[in-house]
Amino acid sequence: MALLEVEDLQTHFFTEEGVVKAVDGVSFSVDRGEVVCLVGESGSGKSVTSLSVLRLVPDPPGRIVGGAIRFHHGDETEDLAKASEARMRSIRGDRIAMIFQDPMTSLNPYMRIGQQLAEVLEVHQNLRGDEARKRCLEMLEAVGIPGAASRLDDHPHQLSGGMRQRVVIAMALLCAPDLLIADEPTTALDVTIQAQILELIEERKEQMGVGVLFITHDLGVVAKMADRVAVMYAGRLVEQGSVDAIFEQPQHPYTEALLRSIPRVDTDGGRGRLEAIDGLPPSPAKLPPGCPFHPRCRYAEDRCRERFPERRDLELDGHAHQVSCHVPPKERG
Amino acid sequence: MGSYAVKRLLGLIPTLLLVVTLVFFLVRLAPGGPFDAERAAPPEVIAALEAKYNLDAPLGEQYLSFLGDLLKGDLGYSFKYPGRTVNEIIGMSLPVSMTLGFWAMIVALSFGIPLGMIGAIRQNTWKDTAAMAVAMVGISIPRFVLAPLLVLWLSLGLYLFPVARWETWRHMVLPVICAALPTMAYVARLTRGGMLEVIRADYIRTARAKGLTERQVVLRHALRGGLLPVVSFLGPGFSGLLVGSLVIEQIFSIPGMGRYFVEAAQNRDYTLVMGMTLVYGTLLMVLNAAVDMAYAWLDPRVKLS
Amino acid sequence: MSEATVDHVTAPEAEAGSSLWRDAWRRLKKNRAAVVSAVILAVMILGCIFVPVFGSHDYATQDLALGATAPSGAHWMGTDPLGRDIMARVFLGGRVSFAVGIIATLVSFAIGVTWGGVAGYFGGRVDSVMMRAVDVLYTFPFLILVILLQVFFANKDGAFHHLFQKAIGPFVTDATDPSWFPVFQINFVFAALGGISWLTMARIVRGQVIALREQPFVEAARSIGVGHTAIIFRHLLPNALGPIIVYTTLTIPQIMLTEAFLSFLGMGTQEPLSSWGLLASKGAEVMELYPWMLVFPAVMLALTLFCFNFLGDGLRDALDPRIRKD
Repeated sequence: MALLEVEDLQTHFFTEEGVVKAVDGVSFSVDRGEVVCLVGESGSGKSVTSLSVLRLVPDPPGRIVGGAIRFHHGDETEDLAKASEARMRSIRGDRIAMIFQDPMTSLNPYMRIGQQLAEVLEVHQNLRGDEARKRCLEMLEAVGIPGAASRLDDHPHQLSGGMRQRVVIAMALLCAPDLLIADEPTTALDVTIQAQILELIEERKEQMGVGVLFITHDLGVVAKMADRVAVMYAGRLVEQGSVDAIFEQPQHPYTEALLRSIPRVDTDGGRGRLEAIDGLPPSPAKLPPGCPFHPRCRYAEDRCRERFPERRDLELDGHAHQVSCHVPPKERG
Repeated sequence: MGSYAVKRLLGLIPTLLLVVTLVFFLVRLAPGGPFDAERAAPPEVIAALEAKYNLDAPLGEQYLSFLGDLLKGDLGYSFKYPGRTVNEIIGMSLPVSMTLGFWAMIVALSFGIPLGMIGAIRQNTWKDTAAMAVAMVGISIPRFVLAPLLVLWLSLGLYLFPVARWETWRHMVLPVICAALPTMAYVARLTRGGMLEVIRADYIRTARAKGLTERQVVLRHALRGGLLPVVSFLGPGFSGLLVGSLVIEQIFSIPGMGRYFVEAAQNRDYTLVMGMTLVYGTLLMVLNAAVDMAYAWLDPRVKLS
Repeated sequence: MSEATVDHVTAPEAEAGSSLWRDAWRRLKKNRAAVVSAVILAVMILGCIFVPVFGSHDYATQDLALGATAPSGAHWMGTDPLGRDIMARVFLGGRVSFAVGIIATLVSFAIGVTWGGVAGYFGGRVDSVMMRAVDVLYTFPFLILVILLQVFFANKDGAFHHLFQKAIGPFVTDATDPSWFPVFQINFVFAALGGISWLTMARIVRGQVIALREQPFVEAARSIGVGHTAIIFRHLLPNALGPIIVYTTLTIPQIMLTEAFLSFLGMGTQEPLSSWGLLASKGAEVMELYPWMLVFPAVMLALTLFCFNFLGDGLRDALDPRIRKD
């Protein structure tokens, strides 16, 4: 059952240089116990999408100008795009929690770990003192922090990057949220630590049945974590479907190009050549007309330069699949 | 922390000794003597005066006896206020200056910090513009211009406060405002800058994502980091107030250290100059050390060593 | 885990080095307060240069019969009790104030940049000794020392006065002419204020240089055998220029303020010369009777400081986009 349904989300930034459509008509959903990976280059709008769900886009200059963010919990459904600020505060950190990219900067350097954790319990469950401390300790142990009891009184700079990210994850899970948003949670970490953190998230997902919206630009992480994948390009969602379908039968030329750019030991024994995508991603302030990918697309036709392609609903491997491209794979030369 | 404080304070002694030595020789090497002004005085009288204050001894001997007296806490007799010791004069004037400085700092912080916070939180609104305009006026108008203008308006025009002297709280209002305003302006600007820097930090976004109210985000998470620049300004801020008190005390005829210092310098009152320099130096250095320790206490990443 | 990421697919957009300055210039031009301040300052400086030259009154000529008069057609800013024209004195005072501000700032700039540049570039023991000295000097009661220097040494026939006479001797007809004495005193102020204002500059420059030292372009210069001096002055300092410019702009009003403060206490510029601080101090004494004697120099001084501070803020916002306001 769907936990989060984002429909036609539009988040724009109103800058001196003009309106930047950072997110422009994005629709996707996340189910309970499911990991949906949002993939795209820097500047494709994936982080803004995730911040929009929690209504944390800095305003000004950013604003959600259209669309719905339907969040189902219990028997209720509410549209977060229209919820009051007070309602949003009671959801943030409680029903929807977020893990940020850089654990070195996402913890307050002036506060003890214990205080920062306990604060979540204080705000949402009115727990203080020993009881809160006990819960924090349990959670730190659950995310695998050795000597957790002594860590509560440490400041963030006394912990390694991996440990800090565990603290951030513990903080996010304290209130047993329904939805976890992870914005590139492993990008800033060493490779071996990355794997541990990913395993931790997966393990907690399975134990708690939490839905995960996982933002990343690392296709290796996608292959490991995702149930479903949504690919963003220049503020638009260009393709989404099951992880197998995306990797095996990509429908969009951009997805196809992305996959050709990573080494794949499994299929061709590493003999194939890696290919880079020609050209540069467009500046979000100056998008080309039509399909924003057309200047870099090897299959581009006239209609691609004129209007953005409608979304087509397909079924691949028994799963729903959507793609926005004028040129079906069969017609590509 | 405690042992650091002791070490830090002991470390001040060589610097202080350096300052004192420098000033000791400076005033004595300068042309002209303390009793030149009394033109009528016959040479024998001057010689007698110089003998009385040990000024006829060789410089080295004077210096050693000065250091010896200093160790005993005796700063000697003032040249220009016969019969009064430097210790007495400092004992009388220092509390006055400290009171003025204390209240000025309190006023500067309690108005400057909120002003800067308004500027940062309501960035680019009219409130921000107004707060920063006030701050800009504060740092651009010298104390000695502000003071006469306020006296002209509030004392001579509206009869709200006395023009000068230092007796009741009503006498304190104008001097404290004049001393505080430039410091307040710096505090406001630093608070705004520090808060703006911090408010964009990732950990503030984390705090928002926890579901804290904007008020909790600012007070619990942003304020501490945002005020660090203000804390490091406190050292220079205190010395600014100290120096500012020279003119404030002059203008309002306040019997504080500043007025005595200026007079002592102009009158070549060697012993008084030495005593005052020593007090100023000690005050500044101790305050600086205290500020460093406060900074380390506020920012756990800073290690004192 | 795969090292391939989507970001690796595309090359980062190349940044042109000169665009930093062009962007800064563009941002500065958009800052109305800074532009207006720069224009006012320019007008003010031109005024201080030309009004004493072309004005109809001399700053020192007395007219005791006239005495103090309010602003009028003949004397736009009025006259003082000695009948001297205030406007002539205000603009001459402006010359002195600007000169003190700019020259003393240059002195502090020269010392601070050299000290900080050397400490930051060589690092290690050199750095720790040099910066330790700065730390110690920071806690010095400097203004107190300047006052003492001013009182005890900037006097007639003192050692420094003789030194000054010797220094200008070869260039002027009579160095012992008493009219050179005020000039000597002003030079003393330049040196004293410059000498105490370089500490912060040294810290800023050192910080910048340390940050830049490890950059590839410096490594490259070193690897092809460029000498220390050339690296410091040709490569490091130009790149550290932004914060240096900003701090310099903010030092000028600071020093002008200090000079005014010293003159107010009677320890800076001396009669018959004038500076804004001296004029304001004289004006404050008689403000109930002749308010124009206080108002004009005070407004000029405050306006100048105001403009320098706005310009400094504007430059900082323009040159350091990270902390700029918008």
